[in-house]
Amino acid sequence: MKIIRLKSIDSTNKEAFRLLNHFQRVAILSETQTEGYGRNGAKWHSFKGNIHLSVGAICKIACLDTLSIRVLYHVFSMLKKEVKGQLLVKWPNDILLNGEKAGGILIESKVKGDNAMVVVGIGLNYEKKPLNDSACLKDALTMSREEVENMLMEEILNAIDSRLSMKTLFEFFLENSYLQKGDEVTLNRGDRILKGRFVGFTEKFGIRIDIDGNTRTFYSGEVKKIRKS
Amino acid sequence: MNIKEIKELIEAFSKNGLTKLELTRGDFSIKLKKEYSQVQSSVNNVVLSEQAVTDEKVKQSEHVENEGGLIYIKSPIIGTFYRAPSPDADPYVEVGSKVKKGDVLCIVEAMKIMNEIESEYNGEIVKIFPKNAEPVEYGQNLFALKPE
Repeated sequence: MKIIRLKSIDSTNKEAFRLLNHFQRVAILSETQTEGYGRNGAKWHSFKGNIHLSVGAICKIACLDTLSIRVLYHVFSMLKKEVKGQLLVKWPNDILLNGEKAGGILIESKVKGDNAMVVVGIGLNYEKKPLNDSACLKDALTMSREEVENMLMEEILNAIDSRLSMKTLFEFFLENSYLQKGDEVTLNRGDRILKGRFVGFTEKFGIRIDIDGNTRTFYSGEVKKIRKS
Repeated sequence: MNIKEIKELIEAFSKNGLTKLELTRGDFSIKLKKEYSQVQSSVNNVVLSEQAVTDEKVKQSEHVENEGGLIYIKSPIIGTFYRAPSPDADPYVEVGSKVKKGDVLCIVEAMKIMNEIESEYNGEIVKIFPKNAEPVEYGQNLFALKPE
């Protein structure tokens, strides 16, 4: 795998895609990003001292199935062993430390027929909190930033290659879920915000929300808890 | 024609890979036909070519379907269909857009994986099936494209 460490780049995900034209597997680490982005093109605040890592691979599209949960499983399990504090996962793939966002994962792929270029991007607040209601990991960890970066690279590669069963992934997700049945939530769908009560997850990791007495399933969106059950 | 000549003729017939030979000399005539090999060979060819066509059809129909001169581009995954990279950006394509092989047509988001779906053909978009932000199933039609 080609590993590249940079001072600054527009986006580690974009750079990984560019390099996948030349390499089968790449990892890009950058101290900062000038155009870091999250889901739906939302800005990702990239501060020096935090982790901005993207791992890219060429794979078959079958590899994309459950990949986001596999990444979460491997990364979260590694961090949980090392972090002092309550670590939880928030659907679909955010990591929370003591109820505040400590990191996010953005996976993008370019699908051409049966093949895909896939890039797993992870932003982890190591030293700095980008927002008031976010968390950073440094004080909860005994590892250096570089040690965390190296372990993340290894775990993301493990996730790309792993064949964990749906049962294992589903149980992992339920055990560590920030959302609990009955929680009042909002779901930002981009064009509208829906309000309801969290019911559970489907086998395909869709989220089930009771909205005005009707249980609906969604596969994307930004969910927020507004009141505990 | 004596027996020796007939044997030589059969040998020449076999060596040269002939399947049919008719020889008339005066009131003598002989017909040689390699019927078994011929039938066997043609059956094999038919089976092989049918197999090749079937494989090719299966390969293509996973994500595209060619019908009535139009190519139907299907969703390779279950997820949410997005016509643009972000809510305030322009759509990747509109009806009437000319696209080239490799151009991004849309995003299908599945569990926070943003999957850009690329065109495998040059052509014109004649129909866009799902609405923006609508859920799509595996194999659901996304676009109809008139190939160039």
